[in-house]
Amino acid sequence: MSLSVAERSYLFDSLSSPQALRPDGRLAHQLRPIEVYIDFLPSSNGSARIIASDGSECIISVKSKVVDHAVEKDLIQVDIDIAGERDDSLLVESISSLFNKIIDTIDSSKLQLTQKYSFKIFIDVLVLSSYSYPVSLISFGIYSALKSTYLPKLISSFDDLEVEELPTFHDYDLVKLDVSPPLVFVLAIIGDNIFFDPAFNESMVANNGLIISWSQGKVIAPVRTIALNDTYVKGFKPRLVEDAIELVNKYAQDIVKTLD
Amino acid sequence: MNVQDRRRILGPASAKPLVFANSNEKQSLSALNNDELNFQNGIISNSNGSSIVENNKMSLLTLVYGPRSTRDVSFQPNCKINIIIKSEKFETKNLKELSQFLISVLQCCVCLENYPKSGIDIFINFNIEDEDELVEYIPALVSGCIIALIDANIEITDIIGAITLNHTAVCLGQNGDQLLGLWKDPYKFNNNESGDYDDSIPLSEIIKSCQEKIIVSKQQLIRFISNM
Amino acid sequence: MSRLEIYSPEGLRLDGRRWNELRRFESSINTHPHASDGSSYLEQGNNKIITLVKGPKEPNTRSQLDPNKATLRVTTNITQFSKFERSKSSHKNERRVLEIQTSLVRTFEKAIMLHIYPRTMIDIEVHVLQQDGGIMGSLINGITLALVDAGIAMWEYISGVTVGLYDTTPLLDVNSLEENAMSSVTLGVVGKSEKLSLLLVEDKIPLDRLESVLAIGIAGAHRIRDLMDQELRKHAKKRVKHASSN
Repeated sequence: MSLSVAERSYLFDSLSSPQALRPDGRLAHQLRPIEVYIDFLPSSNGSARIIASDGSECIISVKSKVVDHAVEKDLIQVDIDIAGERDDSLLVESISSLFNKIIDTIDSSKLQLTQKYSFKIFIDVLVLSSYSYPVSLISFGIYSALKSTYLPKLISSFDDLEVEELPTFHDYDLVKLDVSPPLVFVLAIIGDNIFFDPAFNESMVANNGLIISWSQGKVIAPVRTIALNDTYVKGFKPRLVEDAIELVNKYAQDIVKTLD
Repeated sequence: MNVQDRRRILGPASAKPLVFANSNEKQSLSALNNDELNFQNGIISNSNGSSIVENNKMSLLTLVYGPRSTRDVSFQPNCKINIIIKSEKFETKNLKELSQFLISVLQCCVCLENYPKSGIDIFINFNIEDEDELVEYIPALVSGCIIALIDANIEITDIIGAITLNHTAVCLGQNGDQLLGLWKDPYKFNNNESGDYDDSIPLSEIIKSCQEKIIVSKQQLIRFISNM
Repeated sequence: MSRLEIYSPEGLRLDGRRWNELRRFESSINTHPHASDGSSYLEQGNNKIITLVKGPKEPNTRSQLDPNKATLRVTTNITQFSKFERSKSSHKNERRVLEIQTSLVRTFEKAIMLHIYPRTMIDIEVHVLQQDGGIMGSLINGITLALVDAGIAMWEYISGVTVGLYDTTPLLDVNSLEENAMSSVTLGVVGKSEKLSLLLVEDKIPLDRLESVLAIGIAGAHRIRDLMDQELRKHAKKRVKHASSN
């Protein structure tokens, strides 16, 4: 899929003008509609399937394992697989690096089971199809999957430093995982305008892109700029970063409410 | 069972590994405490352009190959930049994310439309002694790329200035009027070296102070380039 | 060896089926209309499989271009979370997966009318979200459904099923517990005929028992073909209704 020079120039002009009009009629801060299905994989602790209106789709599975937390330092691990991309491609590796950094900001003390053992959470992301930079979709998916994750309930004692025993679990009772995963927003900068959640055609004419992470009411690191295409990329006014962060702070809470 | 390693030539049975006396060279270097970067260009003759950026903590070799033809079957009106960073100290995953960022930044200043149907490959060899956060090396990486690109006679519109402040890398163009790249990572507090990190400083202020410093910090680079 | 009773004297299997019963078979097609030209979602027991067919389309490279017929490519993605225990390594480029891919290409090369799509490529992507034995048969069924959805001309349906042999009793459509406990045979049956486009035997099977195994396998595959046919007709009816109401 590619756009002609004329199409791109039309899109760029209409998106960079002071009264910008998005091709799908959205407001600058409006996201595309998404559909989320949760809990459809019985062999995973949590799962989510998220579909954007353009057919971009992503499947997330959350699985757990009991580990000795003295040995395993990283208690949450994200693996990304994008259909049609090699595992070592620039796109896959950089997205997976980004998400492992984001996931590191989650307080993993909630995963501690006993003094010796913890749950390790494996988040597997499968991107079936994507037309624009998929990090925002993936983060919403991870959010929904983690929010619907249930882990086995511990019935052995917490203090197991002295006794040599492995943690034992209740046969069927589960405990809801209580974490607040960060969200990631992709914003396109076109001219002096900022747009949330750029669609494919908007990404193709974006001057630059901003990846902004948000958690519990405020913007957090990582924050990055990213080129969304290879024809229109150039610098932008530094004050736009401030505006973008303000926009995220303003609207992210509503998005969380919708996802919950 | 006696398993013998037949792949390499083994020394005599009584051989001992070499032990070197502990050199105190490292201390003398840090005594200099010279953070200024040293630049060199045109070192590797079989590449189109090359540069070395060094200070006492690291050495960075950048090689530029191209513009050269790509294997793409379809017509590409613009040149594609590809960057591969090699380092033993960091995970490949993180290096790839960094190279994607650098590609984004360089796309802002390289005249891509002048080289249709072609690609520019940049290889960066990254030697460091003691590890720091990846973000601290972005200014050196950007300078290395710029010098190597100029050395390869590739047209660029601007000399990018990059500064890392408070663990945030800011790449600026047009003497600070344009923001080309921004990179901020969650900072790990258990790394207790530089204690100057303050999460409460908003990004906009970091960018502002970078804008103020950009001309001064670019001076050395520009001086070097004009003498190239 | 196993402490589980695979097949009880009363003739019941671990999941309560009898020897000649299939697992729950639910399918839907056109599940990913934006991402592909044809798609299907299949649940066969606890196997969950998404199949995407892209094409016939322009080949990516010159080597995939055949002036006489379409090139068929199958990519099988067995996800790391598909089994109960998460696998440590990615299954891409694993020998077993590569073998599955080649045998799927060979199975469908004969079923698709490749000669009417010269100079094109048909790209089939299969994602296994969950697996519970007899995966090969489910892959075949998923691909058949998605190919029909893509409107690619085929001579006949191919339906796949795995049959195990427990002592002297053949067990139809084995799950993973049964598959691990006994030797099994996977069949790809052409339509309602008794022709096989795939016969996959990975374990030892006594030759004199093979006939009974094949017989129940073919009968099971015919049943699966009917189930797929039902689903496709149901979907087609819905579409026709939709089209005529507009």
